[in-house]
Amino acid sequence: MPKIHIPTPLRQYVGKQPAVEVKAGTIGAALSDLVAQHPDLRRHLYTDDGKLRAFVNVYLNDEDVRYLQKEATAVKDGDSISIVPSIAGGR
Amino acid sequence: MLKLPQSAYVSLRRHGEETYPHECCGVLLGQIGDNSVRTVTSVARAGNTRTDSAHNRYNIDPKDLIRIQREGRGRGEDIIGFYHSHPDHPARWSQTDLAEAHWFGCSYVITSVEKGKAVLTNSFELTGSGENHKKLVDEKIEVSPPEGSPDGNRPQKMRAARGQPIGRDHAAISASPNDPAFVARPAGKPVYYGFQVLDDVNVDGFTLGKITDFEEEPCDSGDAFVVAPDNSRAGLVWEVHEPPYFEEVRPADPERWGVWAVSFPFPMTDRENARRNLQTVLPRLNEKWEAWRRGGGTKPR
Repeated sequence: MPKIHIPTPLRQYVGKQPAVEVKAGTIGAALSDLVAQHPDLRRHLYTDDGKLRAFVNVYLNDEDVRYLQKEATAVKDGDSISIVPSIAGGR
Repeated sequence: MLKLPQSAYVSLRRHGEETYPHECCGVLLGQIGDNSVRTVTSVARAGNTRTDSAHNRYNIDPKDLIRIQREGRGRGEDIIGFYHSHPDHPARWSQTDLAEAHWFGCSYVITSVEKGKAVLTNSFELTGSGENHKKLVDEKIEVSPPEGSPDGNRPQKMRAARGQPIGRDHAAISASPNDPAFVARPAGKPVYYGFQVLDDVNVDGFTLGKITDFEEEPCDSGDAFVVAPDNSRAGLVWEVHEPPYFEEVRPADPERWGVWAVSFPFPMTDRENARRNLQTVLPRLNEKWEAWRRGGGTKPR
């Protein structure tokens, strides 16, 4: 099963696990399965109208899914999916 | 609270100096304890993708972050915070910093870099229940000395209680073969004997002595002492800090005209700045010295 790596601040919503295994064939389905398993996570990843928050980057292995087929990107057993909130700022 | 090993603290401050006048950025790796104490075990530098506006914006490439996260995982480390610099701007978070902060429960460390020199380093924890209710809260940074020798070949430097290297006077003669002179002070020698007196850091006959070796490792605070024209001495607990303050730590006694907590306006990066700092606090120190003398303070033997 593909595995989703959970960043430190979101682990409190997934029982403090560093990674969660999901049953899915696409990135979209993987994220849906993740929030189905851990409903408290939903509002941190999605806006009220159901869109993935702009600052949430999703990577399949080492690739940004925005540059693949976004939520339709296919995933397979052994794939590593990472949720990475952006890190930015400045004076 | 954020616990940083000295090496990490030095590394992230240097990074800001190296990228000046642009902002630097990087990742803090380590563990978060149950009491939300974040303990850094390593830092990883990251590239700033905001080449369009690098003097006042930073953005860590997520690809760098994935790599750093994976490498950290291999060592049993988690991402527990981030750092960046504010070139020619205070070490306080900005509205942009808050708006762009999304890692709750993590530390955001900011170093002000003035004219290419790192000045203050502050840390803030992102707290709140979500994007609509979040804030950056001041948190204490505790800098700890490295465990064991920083490199295998050299004996570990002597360090003051706060974990910084000590400015030893290697010419001072100790009363004990096993202890340095400042621990085993021979009879007849003045207080602070064994620490290095910086003869060229002198203003109006007052000379600065260093206990914390600010020349060995950059630091924002430390211990020092002042030698008056009559060779009597007072202690200083200094900090690079605005607004200025001058407070008593320990009252005058026959041996010394007090220990004073003082703020310095200039970063303690070299002896010229040390001299300018001494000049700034000298009027208050001179008052204390004069009062001690009027009160019949005993001059050192």
